[in-house]
Amino acid sequence: MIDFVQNTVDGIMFGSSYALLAIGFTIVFGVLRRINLAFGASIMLGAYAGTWLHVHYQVNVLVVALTTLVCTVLAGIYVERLCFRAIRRDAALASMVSSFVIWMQLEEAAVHLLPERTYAFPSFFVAGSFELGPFLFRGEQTTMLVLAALMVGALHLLLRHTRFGLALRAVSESPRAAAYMGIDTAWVMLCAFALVSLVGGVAGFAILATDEQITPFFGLWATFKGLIAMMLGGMGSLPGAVLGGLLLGVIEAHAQWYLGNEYKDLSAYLLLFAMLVLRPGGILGQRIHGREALAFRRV
Amino acid sequence: MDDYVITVLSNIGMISFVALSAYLLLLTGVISFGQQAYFGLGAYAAGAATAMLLLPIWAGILIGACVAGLMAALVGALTLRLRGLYFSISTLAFAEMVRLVLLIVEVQVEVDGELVGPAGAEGFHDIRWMFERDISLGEFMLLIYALLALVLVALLLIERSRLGSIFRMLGSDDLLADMQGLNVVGYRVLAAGLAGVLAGIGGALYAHFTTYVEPQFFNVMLGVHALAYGLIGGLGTAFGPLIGVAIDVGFLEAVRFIQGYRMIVFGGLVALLLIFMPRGLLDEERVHRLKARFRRRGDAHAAGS
Amino acid sequence: MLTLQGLEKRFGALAALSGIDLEVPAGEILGIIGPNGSGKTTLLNAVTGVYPPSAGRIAFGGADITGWKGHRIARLGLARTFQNIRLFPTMTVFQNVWAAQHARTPGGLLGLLRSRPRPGGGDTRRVEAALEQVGLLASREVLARHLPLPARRRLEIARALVVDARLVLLDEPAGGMTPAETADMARVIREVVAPGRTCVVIEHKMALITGVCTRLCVLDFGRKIAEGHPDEVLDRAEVREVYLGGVDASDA
Repeated sequence: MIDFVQNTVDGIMFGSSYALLAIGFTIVFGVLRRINLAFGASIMLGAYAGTWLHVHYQVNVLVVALTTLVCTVLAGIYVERLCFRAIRRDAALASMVSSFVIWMQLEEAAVHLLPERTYAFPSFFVAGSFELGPFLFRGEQTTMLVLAALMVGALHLLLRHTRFGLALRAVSESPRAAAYMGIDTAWVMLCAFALVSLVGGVAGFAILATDEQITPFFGLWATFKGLIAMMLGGMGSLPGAVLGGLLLGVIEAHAQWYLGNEYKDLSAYLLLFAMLVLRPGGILGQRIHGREALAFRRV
Repeated sequence: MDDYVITVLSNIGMISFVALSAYLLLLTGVISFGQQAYFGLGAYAAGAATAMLLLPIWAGILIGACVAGLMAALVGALTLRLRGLYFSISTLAFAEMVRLVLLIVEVQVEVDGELVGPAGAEGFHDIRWMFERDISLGEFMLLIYALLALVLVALLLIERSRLGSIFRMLGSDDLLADMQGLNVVGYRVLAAGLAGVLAGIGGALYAHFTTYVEPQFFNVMLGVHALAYGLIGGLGTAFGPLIGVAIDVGFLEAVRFIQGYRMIVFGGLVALLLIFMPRGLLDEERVHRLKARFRRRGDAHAAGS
Repeated sequence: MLTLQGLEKRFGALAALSGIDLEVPAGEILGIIGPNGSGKTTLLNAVTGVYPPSAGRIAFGGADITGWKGHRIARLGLARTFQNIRLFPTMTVFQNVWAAQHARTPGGLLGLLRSRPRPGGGDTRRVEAALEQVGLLASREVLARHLPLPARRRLEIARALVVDARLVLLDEPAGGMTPAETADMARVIREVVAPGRTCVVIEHKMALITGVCTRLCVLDFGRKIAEGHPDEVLDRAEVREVYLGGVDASDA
């Protein structure tokens, strides 16, 4: 029982980083109804740029963080221009394929920057671990959870209480109606990409600073964890992304504990696959009736 | 031909099977990021047949194709009801699941005093059919191309048949196809099964050509390439994906200064094509024009003689 | 031929159709009119199985087809056209019609592997006959996307002819057409489509409605508000109010 609770706690801690990644997917899906598979790779490229400075010029950790954020946002804007803006709005699948190949492109660019398998990533968190009853809370993970909670809160305020948030929600409801009301939808979409890249950059930096190392698998890892978490929670829903991220963290923690390390990722994919087959809308998403959705789109 | 050239040509041939596999699904209007799963399943199944059960190569290829095809049809029956975006993600999830399962599976049997079979992350070694029969790389390459030619002819015949027309209807407008009496999901499951067979044949050949396979080879990178070949070469004809393979493996591999930056060039090329020619170089309209031109030239020739 | 009982269709909170009862006897040309958003196309979609109705029953030719998928309903002998025209754009005119025909009768595994129709064969003759009837035989090798609008609408009709559908549903067959083209379409419906078939026509253009329909049904906000002989229905005060109120009838 203690193990179970401890695993759940660890899972929630770790899941908070998945939640941040899922937010990146869910906002893009909410606004554009498309999936950006290059999300993880843009974070990876940003983080590699930061690491590159760290490796070659031993810069301060804050500079690494700033570089990671700036380069992630730049990569995000590049993806938006090439894979989303330039492709017709009704061609959601073409955008996804395009972001898929750009994923590989960004990954290779990152590997050219730093060709070795692993690099040390500067540690940022200084908080120590503490115990609460029989349970152990690791300092850096607790920091992550707090950071995630702060960012979700900030995003919520941004979306609900600012003009930009209103514009974003208007575009996600109906781009055409938003455009008629004088909203520059293209600009909103670009801003949405910049915003999620910022969130992703923060998440990426926090995750890597916790791990204290970076590998070329980070892009794949970030994309899949964020994507799975979003699809579990419900596509296009902010609370869904948070819920999905935490759930994914908890399930992985249990799978790892009871079945072994090699089942951790497998359980995540299995969960995603089962979810897609049984309830494609996700937990908080509305149930999507394929035929009706199809008809609504095209008839 | 030296071994390097033979290896490159053989790779082109084997990759073509996955490219055709992804193309067949693209034809019916669904995008799979996960055909590498069936390539991998075919490779493991065929390897098990010849190296563990000591069956002849044709049985290995047959078993590889059947295992991959059945699995693909099964998965398709579960997932092809989903909308496009969800289906694509499910293929990605399934492919990664297969890869991770292959990383775990350890089934080894003793053959001639040695343990043979899938050994988890270490891969599946000693698929030595070629060595035991003393078959050269060149001869195996001929086998690859013979099978590829066979598959290509079959695909071109399908293209001319009602089935090909049905696949194109689904790809063009699935609601309209439904309204005209076609069981959309059923025909897509059929296409997924056939696509699985194609990928499985490719995998079976690959396992025997390289004599070992490991799960890491069947990663998303292979899936991206398989999908991209059809999108580069064009969806108007089965030659499209082969042109895509030739451009990538032939051209980009050959040009020196691109080496090391191949994925950057390749990714950029595909992204630009998706913007300017979303259905590839040889899309349906260009194929139609080419055919019309050939027909006119043929008529003029007949009239002249 | 077609019977609707208490047909209802909701999209979330919106009731696009409610309590529709309708009987279309064999051989009739029924017109359905109503303002935009009154549920005309929703009715057509529910009948053809694009989506299942939320409540009520649909019967076609004696079979209860409520909740059936589109392809099963189509195979019973029903064909339709679309408000915004759906063709296979990268197939030729000939291929579009041939596709409609073999989609209905695939003929098992061997049938599926049969090659394209040969010139002079049975399939070819049927397709050519359908194209001849709508006047498209000359452009048989043209890609469907290159056709002008009236020809595309006629191609949709050829598709219904070649499968010899018992019931043909036409969704705004004269949408976007000039008066001359509309008159031509009315002639095609009267002389080519109607003989031997039952038709349901959705249309805004009074010229077409009064020219071809034998009976008229008026929808407003998803409800049926009138039904009867065209002249009599169009005379009713409530119809004039919701539908024609203030707008020039000839091009509403």
